[in-house]
Amino acid sequence: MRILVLFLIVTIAALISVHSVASQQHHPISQIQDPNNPTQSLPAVVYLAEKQISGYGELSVDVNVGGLDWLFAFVAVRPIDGDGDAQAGGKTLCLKYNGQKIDELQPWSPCFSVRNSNTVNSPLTGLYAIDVSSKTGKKTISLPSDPAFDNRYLLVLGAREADTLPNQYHTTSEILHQGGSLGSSYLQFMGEAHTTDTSDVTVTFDGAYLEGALVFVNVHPTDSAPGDAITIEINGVVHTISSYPYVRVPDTSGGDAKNSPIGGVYYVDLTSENGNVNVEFPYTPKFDQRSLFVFGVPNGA
Amino acid sequence: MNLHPLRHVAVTCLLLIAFAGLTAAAYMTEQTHQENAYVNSATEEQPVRFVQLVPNGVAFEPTKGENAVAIVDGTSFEKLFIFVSVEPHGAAPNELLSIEGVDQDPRFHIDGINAHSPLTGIFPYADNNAAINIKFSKTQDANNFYKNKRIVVLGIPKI
Repeated sequence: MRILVLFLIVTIAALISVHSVASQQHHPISQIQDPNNPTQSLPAVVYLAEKQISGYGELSVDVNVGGLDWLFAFVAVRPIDGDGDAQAGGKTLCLKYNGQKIDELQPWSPCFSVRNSNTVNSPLTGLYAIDVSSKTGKKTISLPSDPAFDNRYLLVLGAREADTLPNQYHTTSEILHQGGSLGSSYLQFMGEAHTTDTSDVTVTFDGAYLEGALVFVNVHPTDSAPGDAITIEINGVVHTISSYPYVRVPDTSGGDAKNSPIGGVYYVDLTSENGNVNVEFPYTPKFDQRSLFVFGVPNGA
Repeated sequence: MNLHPLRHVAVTCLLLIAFAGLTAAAYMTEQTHQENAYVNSATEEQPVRFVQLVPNGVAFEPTKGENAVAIVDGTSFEKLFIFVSVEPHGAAPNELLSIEGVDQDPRFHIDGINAHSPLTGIFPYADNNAAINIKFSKTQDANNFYKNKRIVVLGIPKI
Protein backbone atom coordinates (compact mmCIF):
# COMPACT_ATOMS: atom_id res chain seq x y z
CA MET A 1 0.00 0.00 0.00
CA ARG A 2 2.83 2.37 0.87
CA ILE A 3 4.45 1.60 -2.45
CA LEU A 4 1.21 2.39 -4.21
CA VAL A 5 0.96 5.74 -2.43
CA LEU A 6 4.56 6.51 -3.27
CA PHE A 7 3.99 5.80 -6.93
CA LEU A 8 0.85 7.88 -6.89
CA ILE A 9 2.81 10.81 -5.48
CA VAL A 10 5.53 10.41 -8.10
CA THR A 11 2.96 10.18 -10.85
CA ILE A 12 1.11 13.27 -9.71
CA ALA A 13 4.38 15.18 -9.43
CA ALA A 14 5.34 14.12 -12.94
CA LEU A 15 1.96 15.14 -14.33
CA ILE A 16 2.22 18.51 -12.62
CA SER A 17 5.69 19.01 -14.12
CA VAL A 18 4.44 18.15 -17.57
CA HIS A 19 1.47 20.44 -17.20
CA SER A 20 3.67 23.26 -15.98
CA VAL A 21 6.11 23.01 -18.86
CA ALA A 22 3.34 22.52 -21.37
CA SER A 23 1.63 25.62 -20.07
CA GLN A 24 4.78 27.60 -20.71
CA GLN A 25 5.05 26.17 -24.18
CA HIS A 26 1.53 27.12 -25.09
CA HIS A 27 1.35 30.45 -23.36
CA PRO A 28 1.59 33.14 -25.93
CA ILE A 29 4.81 34.88 -25.04
CA SER A 30 2.89 38.05 -24.74
CA GLN A 31 4.93 41.13 -24.21
CA ILE A 32 2.30 43.77 -23.75
CA GLN A 33 -1.26 42.80 -24.41
CA ASP A 34 -3.82 45.15 -25.75
CA PRO A 35 -6.30 45.45 -22.87
CA ASN A 36 -9.14 45.61 -25.39
CA ASN A 37 -7.92 42.53 -27.15
CA PRO A 38 -6.07 40.23 -24.74
CA THR A 39 -5.19 37.77 -27.47
CA GLN A 40 -3.29 40.43 -29.36
CA SER A 41 0.32 40.64 -28.36
CA LEU A 42 3.06 42.81 -29.73
CA PRO A 43 6.54 41.76 -30.78
CA ALA A 44 9.44 42.70 -28.57
CA VAL A 45 12.46 44.57 -29.90
CA VAL A 46 15.67 42.57 -29.71
CA TYR A 47 19.28 43.30 -30.49
CA LEU A 48 20.69 41.29 -33.39
CA ALA A 49 23.99 42.67 -34.63
CA GLU A 50 26.11 45.74 -35.15
CA LYS A 51 29.38 46.69 -36.73
CA GLN A 52 31.43 49.85 -36.86
CA ILE A 53 34.49 50.82 -38.86
CA SER A 54 36.30 54.11 -39.27
CA GLY A 55 37.31 53.32 -42.84
CA TYR A 56 35.34 52.88 -46.04
CA GLY A 57 35.42 49.10 -46.50
CA GLU A 58 32.36 46.92 -46.81
CA LEU A 59 30.34 46.73 -43.65
CA SER A 60 28.39 43.51 -43.41
CA VAL A 61 26.50 41.54 -40.78
CA ASP A 62 24.58 38.28 -41.01
CA VAL A 63 21.37 37.67 -39.14
CA ASN A 64 19.00 34.75 -39.03
CA VAL A 65 15.54 36.11 -39.70
CA GLY A 66 13.70 32.96 -38.64
CA GLY A 67 11.13 33.86 -36.00
CA LEU A 68 11.37 37.56 -36.74
CA ASP A 69 8.62 39.84 -37.98
CA TRP A 70 10.81 42.81 -38.81
CA LEU A 71 14.39 43.89 -39.14
CA PHE A 72 15.35 47.45 -38.25
CA ALA A 73 18.56 48.71 -39.80
CA PHE A 74 20.04 51.90 -38.43
CA VAL A 75 22.82 53.14 -40.66
CA ALA A 76 25.19 56.09 -40.41
CA VAL A 77 28.02 57.04 -42.74
CA ARG A 78 30.14 60.11 -43.32
CA PRO A 79 30.38 61.49 -46.85
CA ILE A 80 33.98 62.47 -47.46
CA ASP A 81 35.09 65.93 -48.38
CA GLY A 82 37.90 65.14 -50.78
CA ASP A 83 39.02 64.76 -54.35
CA GLY A 84 38.58 62.04 -56.94
CA ASP A 85 37.26 58.76 -55.64
CA ALA A 86 37.16 60.13 -52.11
CA GLN A 87 34.71 62.85 -53.13
CA ALA A 88 31.19 61.99 -52.05
CA GLY A 89 29.52 64.65 -54.18
CA GLY A 90 27.56 63.05 -56.98
CA LYS A 91 27.71 59.56 -55.51
CA THR A 92 25.13 57.20 -54.08
CA LEU A 93 25.51 54.54 -51.44
CA CYS A 94 22.76 51.99 -50.81
CA LEU A 95 22.20 49.67 -47.92
CA LYS A 96 21.84 46.13 -49.23
CA TYR A 97 19.54 43.39 -47.96
CA ASN A 98 20.83 40.02 -49.08
CA GLY A 99 22.61 41.61 -52.00
CA GLN A 100 19.68 43.71 -53.16
CA LYS A 101 19.74 47.48 -52.93
CA ILE A 102 17.35 48.75 -50.33
CA ASP A 103 15.54 51.12 -52.71
CA GLU A 104 15.01 48.26 -55.17
CA LEU A 105 13.69 46.02 -52.45
CA GLN A 106 11.60 48.73 -50.79
CA PRO A 107 10.96 51.74 -53.03
CA TRP A 108 10.08 53.83 -49.99
CA SER A 109 13.61 53.44 -48.60
CA PRO A 110 15.93 56.04 -50.10
CA CYS A 111 19.65 55.39 -50.46
CA PHE A 112 22.29 57.84 -49.33
CA SER A 113 22.94 60.14 -52.22
CA VAL A 114 24.99 63.30 -52.33
CA ARG A 115 24.76 66.07 -54.88
CA ASN A 116 28.02 67.51 -56.12
CA SER A 117 29.73 69.24 -53.30
CA ASN A 118 32.96 69.22 -51.43
CA THR A 119 31.60 70.36 -48.13
CA VAL A 120 29.56 67.48 -46.86
CA ASN A 121 30.79 65.87 -43.70
CA SER A 122 27.80 65.47 -41.42
CA PRO A 123 26.62 61.92 -40.90
CA LEU A 124 24.00 60.61 -43.25
CA THR A 125 21.56 58.45 -41.37
CA GLY A 126 19.06 55.89 -42.59
CA LEU A 127 16.36 54.28 -40.46
CA TYR A 128 14.98 51.28 -42.32
CA ALA A 129 12.29 48.75 -41.41
CA ILE A 130 12.29 45.52 -43.46
CA ASP A 131 9.41 43.04 -43.33
CA VAL A 132 10.88 39.56 -42.87
CA SER A 133 7.80 37.82 -41.50
CA SER A 134 7.73 35.39 -44.40
CA LYS A 135 11.49 34.91 -44.58
CA THR A 136 13.74 32.31 -43.02
CA GLY A 137 17.44 31.62 -42.79
CA LYS A 138 20.50 33.77 -43.00
CA LYS A 139 20.26 37.23 -44.52
CA THR A 140 23.10 39.66 -45.03
CA ILE A 141 22.79 43.37 -44.35
CA SER A 142 25.63 45.30 -45.91
CA LEU A 143 27.03 48.62 -47.01
CA PRO A 144 29.29 48.19 -50.04
CA SER A 145 32.82 49.51 -49.98
CA ASP A 146 33.18 53.05 -51.31
CA PRO A 147 36.08 55.39 -50.58
CA ALA A 148 33.71 58.35 -50.60
CA PHE A 149 31.88 57.18 -47.46
CA ASP A 150 33.75 56.34 -44.28
CA ASN A 151 33.07 56.25 -40.54
CA ARG A 152 30.40 53.61 -40.97
CA TYR A 153 28.04 52.22 -38.40
CA LEU A 154 25.32 49.62 -38.76
CA LEU A 155 22.96 48.49 -36.01
CA VAL A 156 20.37 45.78 -36.68
CA LEU A 157 17.48 45.23 -34.31
CA GLY A 158 14.54 42.89 -34.79
CA ALA A 159 10.95 42.40 -33.73
CA ARG A 160 10.38 38.85 -32.57
CA GLU A 161 7.11 37.05 -33.04
CA ALA A 162 5.27 36.46 -29.82
CA ASP A 163 5.31 32.69 -29.94
CA THR A 164 9.05 32.46 -30.51
CA LEU A 165 10.16 34.53 -27.59
CA PRO A 166 12.09 32.86 -24.82
CA ASN A 167 9.86 31.21 -22.31
CA GLN A 168 11.35 32.84 -19.27
CA TYR A 169 9.47 35.94 -20.35
CA HIS A 170 6.13 34.29 -20.69
CA THR A 171 3.87 36.74 -18.95
CA THR A 172 3.37 40.43 -19.24
CA SER A 173 4.12 41.00 -15.59
CA GLU A 174 7.35 39.07 -15.80
CA ILE A 175 8.51 41.06 -18.77
CA LEU A 176 7.62 44.26 -17.03
CA HIS A 177 9.43 43.03 -13.97
CA GLN A 178 12.54 42.26 -15.94
CA GLY A 179 12.53 45.75 -17.31
CA GLY A 180 11.19 47.22 -14.12
CA SER A 181 14.11 45.93 -12.14
CA LEU A 182 16.23 48.29 -14.15
CA GLY A 183 13.76 51.09 -13.86
CA SER A 184 12.48 50.79 -17.37
CA SER A 185 10.92 48.28 -19.72
CA TYR A 186 11.74 46.47 -22.88
CA LEU A 187 10.71 48.09 -26.10
CA GLN A 188 7.72 46.83 -28.07
CA PHE A 189 7.19 47.18 -31.79
CA MET A 190 3.99 49.19 -32.24
CA GLY A 191 3.72 49.50 -36.00
CA GLU A 192 5.14 50.58 -39.33
CA ALA A 193 3.82 52.46 -42.33
CA HIS A 194 5.26 53.69 -45.61
CA THR A 195 4.41 54.97 -49.06
CA THR A 196 5.92 56.19 -52.29
CA ASP A 197 2.84 58.05 -53.46
CA THR A 198 0.44 60.65 -52.09
CA SER A 199 -1.28 58.47 -49.52
CA ASP A 200 -0.98 59.26 -45.84
CA VAL A 201 1.39 57.32 -43.66
CA THR A 202 -0.25 56.63 -40.33
CA VAL A 203 0.40 54.38 -37.35
CA THR A 204 -2.19 54.14 -34.59
CA PHE A 205 -1.64 52.28 -31.35
CA ASP A 206 -3.02 52.09 -27.82
CA GLY A 207 -1.02 54.33 -25.54
CA ALA A 208 -2.83 53.35 -22.34
CA TYR A 209 -0.14 50.97 -21.18
CA LEU A 210 2.83 52.92 -22.45
CA GLU A 211 4.92 55.56 -20.77
CA GLY A 212 6.35 56.71 -24.06
CA ALA A 213 7.01 55.95 -27.69
CA LEU A 214 9.93 56.35 -30.05
CA VAL A 215 9.08 57.38 -33.59
CA PHE A 216 11.68 56.79 -36.29
CA VAL A 217 11.07 58.79 -39.46
CA ASN A 218 12.66 58.54 -42.89
CA VAL A 219 11.74 60.82 -45.78
CA HIS A 220 13.28 61.63 -49.13
CA PRO A 221 13.26 65.21 -50.44
CA THR A 222 13.13 65.52 -54.20
CA ASP A 223 15.41 67.84 -56.10
CA SER A 224 12.76 70.54 -55.94
CA ALA A 225 12.28 70.23 -52.19
CA PRO A 226 14.85 72.79 -51.01
CA GLY A 227 13.09 75.59 -49.24
CA ASP A 228 10.11 73.43 -48.43
CA ALA A 229 9.27 71.46 -45.34
CA ILE A 230 7.26 68.42 -44.43
CA THR A 231 5.54 67.90 -41.11
CA ILE A 232 4.80 64.88 -38.98
CA GLU A 233 2.12 64.96 -36.29
CA ILE A 234 2.77 62.77 -33.26
CA ASN A 235 -0.09 62.61 -30.79
CA GLY A 236 -1.25 66.06 -31.80
CA VAL A 237 2.16 67.70 -31.74
CA VAL A 238 3.45 68.88 -35.11
CA HIS A 239 7.14 68.51 -35.91
CA THR A 240 8.66 70.15 -38.96
CA ILE A 241 11.31 68.56 -41.11
CA SER A 242 12.79 71.20 -43.34
CA SER A 243 14.78 70.76 -46.48
CA TYR A 244 16.74 73.89 -47.06
CA PRO A 245 18.46 74.50 -49.32
CA TYR A 246 19.62 70.94 -49.90
CA VAL A 247 20.21 68.23 -47.42
CA ARG A 248 23.58 69.23 -46.06
CA VAL A 249 24.62 69.99 -49.61
CA PRO A 250 24.94 73.40 -51.25
CA ASP A 251 22.97 74.12 -54.36
CA THR A 252 26.01 74.61 -56.51
CA SER A 253 25.67 72.02 -59.21
CA GLY A 254 23.27 69.56 -60.65
CA GLY A 255 24.91 66.23 -60.22
CA ASP A 256 23.25 63.01 -61.14
CA ALA A 257 22.81 62.02 -57.55
CA LYS A 258 19.68 62.98 -55.74
CA ASN A 259 19.18 63.68 -52.07
CA SER A 260 19.80 61.66 -48.98
CA PRO A 261 16.99 60.75 -46.63
CA ILE A 262 16.22 63.06 -43.78
CA GLY A 263 14.14 62.49 -40.71
CA GLY A 264 15.03 61.63 -37.21
CA VAL A 265 14.09 60.11 -33.91
CA TYR A 266 11.25 61.56 -31.84
CA TYR A 267 10.19 60.64 -28.32
CA VAL A 268 6.65 61.26 -27.14
CA ASP A 269 5.66 61.13 -23.47
CA LEU A 270 2.50 59.03 -22.99
CA THR A 271 2.36 58.84 -19.20
CA SER A 272 -1.00 60.62 -19.16
CA GLU A 273 -2.32 59.01 -22.31
CA ASN A 274 -5.23 56.60 -22.00
CA GLY A 275 -6.35 56.08 -25.55
CA ASN A 276 -5.19 55.67 -29.09
CA VAL A 277 -2.09 57.51 -30.20
CA ASN A 278 -1.81 58.64 -33.79
CA VAL A 279 1.36 59.25 -35.72
CA GLU A 280 0.45 60.92 -39.00
CA PHE A 281 2.87 61.68 -41.78
CA PRO A 282 0.71 63.27 -44.47
CA TYR A 283 1.68 63.77 -48.08
CA THR A 284 3.51 66.95 -48.89
CA PRO A 285 4.56 67.87 -52.42
CA LYS A 286 8.25 67.50 -53.21
CA PHE A 287 8.76 64.66 -50.70
CA ASP A 288 8.23 61.32 -52.39
CA GLN A 289 9.35 58.51 -50.09
CA ARG A 290 8.01 58.44 -46.57
CA SER A 291 8.21 55.80 -43.89
CA LEU A 292 8.05 55.53 -40.14
CA PHE A 293 8.04 52.91 -37.42
CA VAL A 294 7.26 53.12 -33.74
CA PHE A 295 8.69 51.46 -30.63
CA GLY A 296 6.64 51.59 -27.44
CA VAL A 297 8.06 51.98 -23.95
CA PRO A 298 5.77 50.06 -21.56
CA ASN A 299 4.86 51.39 -18.17
CA GLY A 300 7.19 50.13 -15.49
CA ALA A 301 6.12 47.25 -13.30
CA MET B 1 5.78 -7.94 -1.87
CA ASN B 2 2.76 -10.14 -1.67
CA LEU B 3 0.36 -8.20 -3.88
CA HIS B 4 -2.71 -9.29 -5.75
CA PRO B 5 -1.91 -9.79 -9.48
CA LEU B 6 -4.26 -6.96 -10.38
CA ARG B 7 -2.34 -4.69 -8.07
CA HIS B 8 0.85 -5.76 -9.79
CA VAL B 9 -0.65 -4.60 -13.04
CA ALA B 10 -1.81 -1.35 -11.48
CA VAL B 11 1.59 -0.64 -9.97
CA THR B 12 3.30 -1.44 -13.25
CA CYS B 13 0.98 0.92 -15.11
CA LEU B 14 1.62 3.67 -12.60
CA LEU B 15 5.34 3.11 -12.91
CA LEU B 16 5.13 3.38 -16.67
CA ILE B 17 3.01 6.55 -16.48
CA ALA B 18 5.41 8.12 -13.98
CA PHE B 19 8.41 7.22 -16.11
CA ALA B 20 6.80 8.56 -19.27
CA GLY B 21 5.78 11.73 -17.47
CA LEU B 22 9.21 12.37 -16.08
CA THR B 23 10.84 11.67 -19.42
CA ALA B 24 8.46 14.05 -21.19
CA ALA B 25 9.01 16.72 -18.56
CA ALA B 26 12.77 16.41 -18.84
CA TYR B 27 12.63 16.58 -22.63
CA MET B 28 10.36 19.62 -22.68
CA THR B 29 12.37 21.35 -20.01
CA GLU B 30 15.52 20.86 -22.06
CA GLN B 31 13.78 22.22 -25.14
CA THR B 32 12.54 25.18 -23.17
CA HIS B 33 16.01 25.80 -21.81
CA GLN B 34 17.46 25.81 -25.28
CA GLU B 35 14.79 28.17 -26.57
CA ASN B 36 15.33 30.38 -23.57
CA ALA B 37 19.03 30.59 -23.97
CA TYR B 38 19.53 31.28 -27.60
CA VAL B 39 18.26 32.98 -30.65
CA ASN B 40 19.58 31.43 -33.81
CA SER B 41 22.19 33.50 -35.45
CA ALA B 42 23.73 32.94 -38.82
CA THR B 43 27.23 33.14 -37.48
CA GLU B 44 26.96 31.91 -33.95
CA GLU B 45 24.38 31.28 -31.29
CA GLN B 46 23.85 34.28 -29.16
CA PRO B 47 21.56 34.97 -26.23
CA VAL B 48 18.35 36.87 -26.70
CA ARG B 49 19.03 40.50 -25.96
CA PHE B 50 16.03 42.67 -25.40
CA VAL B 51 16.39 46.38 -26.07
CA GLN B 52 15.11 48.93 -23.62
CA LEU B 53 14.94 52.64 -23.17
CA VAL B 54 17.62 53.47 -20.64
CA PRO B 55 16.24 55.21 -17.53
CA ASN B 56 16.62 58.98 -17.83
CA GLY B 57 17.74 58.40 -21.41
CA VAL B 58 15.53 61.03 -23.04
CA ALA B 59 16.41 64.71 -23.32
CA PHE B 60 14.96 67.45 -25.48
CA GLU B 61 15.82 71.12 -25.67
CA PRO B 62 14.00 73.22 -28.26
CA THR B 63 15.70 76.54 -27.55
CA LYS B 64 18.79 77.84 -29.27
CA GLY B 65 21.60 78.41 -26.82
CA GLU B 66 20.30 75.82 -24.37
CA ASN B 67 21.62 72.30 -24.17
CA ALA B 68 19.99 68.91 -23.97
CA VAL B 69 21.53 66.70 -21.29
CA ALA B 70 20.90 63.05 -20.49
CA ILE B 71 22.71 61.54 -17.52
CA VAL B 72 22.36 57.77 -17.53
CA ASP B 73 23.64 54.90 -15.41
CA GLY B 74 25.73 52.55 -17.52
CA THR B 75 26.47 49.99 -14.83
CA SER B 76 23.58 47.70 -15.72
CA PHE B 77 24.11 47.80 -19.45
CA GLU B 78 26.42 45.97 -21.77
CA LYS B 79 26.06 48.59 -24.45
CA LEU B 80 24.24 51.83 -25.13
CA PHE B 81 22.93 53.18 -28.41
CA ILE B 82 22.72 56.95 -28.43
CA PHE B 83 20.34 58.46 -30.97
CA VAL B 84 20.61 62.22 -31.39
CA SER B 85 19.24 64.83 -33.70
CA VAL B 86 19.72 68.56 -33.91
CA GLU B 87 18.56 71.28 -36.26
CA PRO B 88 20.95 73.90 -37.57
CA HIS B 89 19.04 77.16 -37.45
CA GLY B 90 19.53 79.97 -39.88
CA ALA B 91 23.03 80.42 -41.13
CA ALA B 92 25.21 77.92 -39.35
CA PRO B 93 28.41 78.24 -41.31
CA ASN B 94 31.57 76.45 -40.36
CA GLU B 95 29.98 74.95 -37.30
CA LEU B 96 30.91 71.51 -36.09
CA LEU B 97 28.97 69.98 -33.27
CA SER B 98 29.87 66.85 -31.35
CA ILE B 99 28.37 64.95 -28.46
CA GLU B 100 30.31 65.31 -25.24
CA GLY B 101 31.18 61.97 -23.73
CA VAL B 102 30.87 60.27 -27.11
CA ASP B 103 34.21 60.54 -28.82
CA GLN B 104 33.19 59.06 -32.14
CA ASP B 105 32.81 60.12 -35.70
CA PRO B 106 30.95 61.10 -37.71
CA ARG B 107 30.17 64.43 -36.13
CA PHE B 108 27.74 67.02 -37.34
CA HIS B 109 29.41 69.48 -39.62
CA ILE B 110 27.83 72.40 -41.40
CA ASP B 111 30.33 74.13 -43.62
CA GLY B 112 29.39 77.39 -45.19
CA ILE B 113 25.82 76.57 -46.07
CA ASN B 114 22.41 77.25 -44.73
CA ALA B 115 20.77 74.06 -43.59
CA HIS B 116 17.61 73.54 -41.59
CA SER B 117 17.24 69.82 -41.99
CA PRO B 118 17.56 67.82 -38.82
CA LEU B 119 20.92 66.13 -38.53
CA THR B 120 20.60 62.70 -37.05
CA GLY B 121 23.30 60.45 -35.66
CA ILE B 122 23.58 57.07 -34.01
CA PHE B 123 26.46 56.37 -31.69
CA PRO B 124 27.23 53.06 -29.96
CA TYR B 125 28.75 53.47 -26.54
CA ALA B 126 29.95 51.12 -23.81
CA ASP B 127 30.83 52.39 -20.36
CA ASN B 128 30.25 51.08 -16.85
CA ASN B 129 30.17 54.57 -15.39
CA ALA B 130 27.25 55.19 -13.07
CA ALA B 131 26.74 58.70 -14.40
CA ILE B 132 27.37 58.96 -18.13
CA ASN B 133 26.87 62.55 -19.14
CA ILE B 134 25.56 62.85 -22.69
CA LYS B 135 25.12 66.33 -24.07
CA PHE B 136 25.89 68.43 -27.08
CA SER B 137 29.10 70.41 -27.00
CA LYS B 138 28.17 73.87 -25.80
CA THR B 139 31.60 75.26 -26.59
CA GLN B 140 31.26 74.19 -30.19
CA ASP B 141 27.82 75.70 -30.38
CA ALA B 142 29.13 78.98 -29.03
CA ASN B 143 27.16 80.94 -31.59
CA ASN B 144 23.94 79.19 -30.70
CA PHE B 145 23.10 78.03 -34.19
CA TYR B 146 21.48 74.78 -33.17
CA LYS B 147 18.00 74.18 -31.82
CA ASN B 148 15.70 71.24 -31.15
CA LYS B 149 18.41 69.11 -29.63
CA ARG B 150 17.21 65.57 -28.97
CA ILE B 151 18.84 62.66 -27.21
CA VAL B 152 17.39 59.16 -26.86
CA VAL B 153 19.48 56.42 -25.24
CA LEU B 154 18.61 52.76 -25.79
CA GLY B 155 20.51 49.91 -24.21
CA ILE B 156 20.87 46.17 -23.88
CA PRO B 157 21.12 45.08 -20.24
CA LYS B 158 23.95 42.90 -19.04
CA ILE B 159 23.06 39.22 -18.76
